[in-house]
Amino acid sequence: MPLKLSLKPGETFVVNGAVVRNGERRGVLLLENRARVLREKDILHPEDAHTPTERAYFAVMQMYLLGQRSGPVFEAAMASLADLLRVTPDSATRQKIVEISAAIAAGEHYRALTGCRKIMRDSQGAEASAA
Amino acid sequence: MMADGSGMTITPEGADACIDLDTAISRLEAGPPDAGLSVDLGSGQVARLEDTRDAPGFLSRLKAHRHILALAASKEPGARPDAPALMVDSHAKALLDAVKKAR
Repeated sequence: MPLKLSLKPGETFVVNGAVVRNGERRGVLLLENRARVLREKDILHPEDAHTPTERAYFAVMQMYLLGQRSGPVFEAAMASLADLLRVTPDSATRQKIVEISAAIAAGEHYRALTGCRKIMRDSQGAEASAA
Repeated sequence: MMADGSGMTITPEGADACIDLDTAISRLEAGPPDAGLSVDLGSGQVARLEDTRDAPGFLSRLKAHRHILALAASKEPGARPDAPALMVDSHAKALLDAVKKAR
């Protein structure tokens, strides 16, 4: 089944390493095969990765964008997950980090990235409630 | 296997049974495995070695996951080494710069 992408005017996204921008009208794209797709709203730039959670998200996102399953980018992602585990006392979040690690080991990088995004949003939500 | 078959694992013909992480790492360290090696990673995830040329990468992924499992199982908070420096790959940087430029 193709992946349907509904695009806002001017919306940018990445497909298999290509940066693509939609034109001035709304658009729909159908991806007929498996590809690495990420919308701009889900892209975190390195200068915005400050916390261990954000750094883990960035490292896993980088691995997904590049489609690399081993080598320095993979090692950086696993090191960032280990660091995140060390500063995370909450058992439910620790379990989520283990699930992200399992997804990476299984080559399911988009699933891993989704897991990182959930942890990042949970921690941002907790910080907002504490403020 | 239970007499009623409830403990039976059905494996597709030609595929290896799923083995645990430690067994898989030992097998990969002992020598080149056959393609199709399937490893139970926990959390409902299974890793499968599709191509024996990827065996070194596959082994490093399994070892990294075992390290994460050991850290997660540790009751005592270990000393935290310095946080790893954020590594930005040059290809990723070029891609992210292009995303910024497209804004």
